[in-house]
Amino acid sequence: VDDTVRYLILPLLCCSPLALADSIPQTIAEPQVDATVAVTARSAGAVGRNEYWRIPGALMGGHAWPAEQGFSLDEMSLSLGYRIDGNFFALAKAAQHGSQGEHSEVAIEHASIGYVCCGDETRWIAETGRMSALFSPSIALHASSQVFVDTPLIADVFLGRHFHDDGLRLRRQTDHGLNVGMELWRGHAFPASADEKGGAADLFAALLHKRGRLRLETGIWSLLARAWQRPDHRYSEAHSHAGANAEPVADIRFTGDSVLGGVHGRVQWQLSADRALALRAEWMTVRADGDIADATRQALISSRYSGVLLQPELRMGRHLFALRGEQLVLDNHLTGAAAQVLAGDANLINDDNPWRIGLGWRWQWRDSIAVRAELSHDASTADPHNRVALGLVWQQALTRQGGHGH
Amino acid sequence: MRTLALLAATLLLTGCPDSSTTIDDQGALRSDFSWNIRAGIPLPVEPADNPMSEAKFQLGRHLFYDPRLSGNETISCASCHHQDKAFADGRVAALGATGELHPRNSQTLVNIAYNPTLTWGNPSLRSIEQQIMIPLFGETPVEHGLNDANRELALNRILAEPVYAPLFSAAFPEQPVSYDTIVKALASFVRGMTSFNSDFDRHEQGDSTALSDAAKRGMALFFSERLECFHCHGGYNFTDSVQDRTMFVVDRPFHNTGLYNIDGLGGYPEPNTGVHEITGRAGDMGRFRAPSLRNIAVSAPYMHDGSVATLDEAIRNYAAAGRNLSTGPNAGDGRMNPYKDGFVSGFSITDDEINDLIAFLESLSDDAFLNASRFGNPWMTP
Repeated sequence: VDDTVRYLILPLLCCSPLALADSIPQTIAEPQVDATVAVTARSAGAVGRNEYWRIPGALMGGHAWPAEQGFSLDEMSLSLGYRIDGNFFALAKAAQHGSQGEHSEVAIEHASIGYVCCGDETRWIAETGRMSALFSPSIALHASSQVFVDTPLIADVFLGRHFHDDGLRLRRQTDHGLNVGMELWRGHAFPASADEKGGAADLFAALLHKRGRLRLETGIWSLLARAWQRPDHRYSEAHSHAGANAEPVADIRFTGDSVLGGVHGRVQWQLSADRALALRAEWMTVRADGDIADATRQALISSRYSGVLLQPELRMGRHLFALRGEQLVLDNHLTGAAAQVLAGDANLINDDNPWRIGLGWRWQWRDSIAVRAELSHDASTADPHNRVALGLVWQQALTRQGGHGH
Repeated sequence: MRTLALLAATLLLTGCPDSSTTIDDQGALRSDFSWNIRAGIPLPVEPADNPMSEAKFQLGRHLFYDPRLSGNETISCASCHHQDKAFADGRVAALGATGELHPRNSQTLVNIAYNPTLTWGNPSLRSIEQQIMIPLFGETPVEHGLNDANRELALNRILAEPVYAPLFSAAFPEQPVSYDTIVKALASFVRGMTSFNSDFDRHEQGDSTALSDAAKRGMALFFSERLECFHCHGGYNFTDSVQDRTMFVVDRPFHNTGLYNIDGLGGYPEPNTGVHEITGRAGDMGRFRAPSLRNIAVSAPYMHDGSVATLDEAIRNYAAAGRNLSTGPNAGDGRMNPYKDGFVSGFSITDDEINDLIAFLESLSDDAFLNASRFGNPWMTP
């Protein structure tokens, strides 16, 4: 089966997707505690003060807050992993993202229990509770572990940056590098809604293949998300982050189904003991059909979005250099008497492809401290601009084992 | 490596099709009438039994300015609706043909095509055609003073005016001249009075120089949760009482702004008790429709009874969470009115901020509307 999947999936993927990180603590009865703090200073924000970050052509939401000019706390988290016995394990994580507004509050992102069983080479893993989705590396990996300070556009726009939700995950993992599974979600994470008509489910498969100097990580996934009157949580009534004096953003709500799919990969070639070249790529597509409405208007909407990320990397010892190019293609068709008005209010009028390109550098100065810098040109909104960011990341395993990598 | 990366990025950014947004509004933006409404504003609803036409609009304009349409030929619609005041009259209360004072302040006639209800506080009055019957034939108070005794006489005066014959035949071909056609023409004229050409509108359309710095600061205050203004005066017509042809739900809100509390129980002075006059329900005491703020700077005095003279005074009342009248026949602490709207909760504001807010409200004035010959008196010789 492994070989079949390997040889069927690989040719499908034009780029090289990533295998997904394993988050299961290994040593029984020894807690693994990790702390992370990532701070960044930016020369400019994604939008101006008292402005809302809404990329023209996309219905955004979730936790995709804009990069802020000046000093900001991007992430502060405390993670706990505990292997209860040979089969059971538990994970917990509290985190804070951002230093302004309501998203500066500490949130419980993980509180789950898992069960591993059956076999040394092949394992079945069942988890339930509050978890992060594993289907895409763009959301499974936090910004603090990346070269770039800013989350990929595809994750921000299509998946609301973070995907934490209450759910159930079942996956099969082999020592040959295969990781396949399914996840069921209550719907708290964008683009779903958490009510009796909402919810989400996904399927994913990822493969890690090593041969000589080559390391290949690939993956493919699909997500179905159902939403009922989903607002843009970032800027809905109780979550205004654009300042007390900002003109309020129209409360446009989406009801309908979103089917997302993606392929991702990373191919790495080890040039020498401390040098490696890599290319990371991810492509996502979104098909969303339903309606958008405000308190008095309604229009049908059919959206077809796609986005791509391409990121060549060069690692030299403790230095990692990367170039990242990203682009979105956002097509919307609206029908109904209110289509024009709602399209305007929801900021869906758009004939340009949002894109961003950046040059990043990460220096792992000490085992637990990294410095990173980023120079980017952001053309994701109607006001293209350059941005310089300088950041510091502290990631510390607070127990002897540490580093379970939630 | 660098070259390869740049090449890859270039291919990435240039190899995709362009984004697009297509819209099928199913005819919602089509009309036989030239509404003169800027892009982004939906069209008003046209009544099925009185669709808009330029001929009706022009006939209605002549009738609007014609004092022969009153019992004693002393007043016309324009007597209480002056164009330079956004079709308010600048008086505390309007004066009828027989000298009777109207208990209420004349409202502006700005974008009333978007009003889901007419007058200050009547949730059941939902068409301009219905509303026009009130000033023409109403008895409490008398406005135009038309009644059963003089209605034929007034109609004959209209019929005798030679200007009207071609206007009526163009507007209502093969229909007899009647009060039905007169009302429909008047309604078409006032329905066609649209105002979306202010400095604020130019700002909304991308002219970054259209608003002064003070007006921009005032706009930020207006739309802030601190002042709450936009909750009742938001949207393209600066009122929460709005209806257009894109809506599938029409709200008809009314608000008690804490202007009075004459009995300590929330009472408003008779006969101006708002929706309460219609329903008799205590909870409707003092509830009035939030008027559009377009051209508000030229339409003083304010409120349903014209009891607030200036914008400065109006803002200070809202900042105080209502009006406290310590003397006079209407004395009482409106701030404590139990029926007051939750958004009238008060706020702190400096004199400079009030000036900024007024600068923003002044930016809602539409000089083209206030001076347009299209809305002017057709009987005047240039």
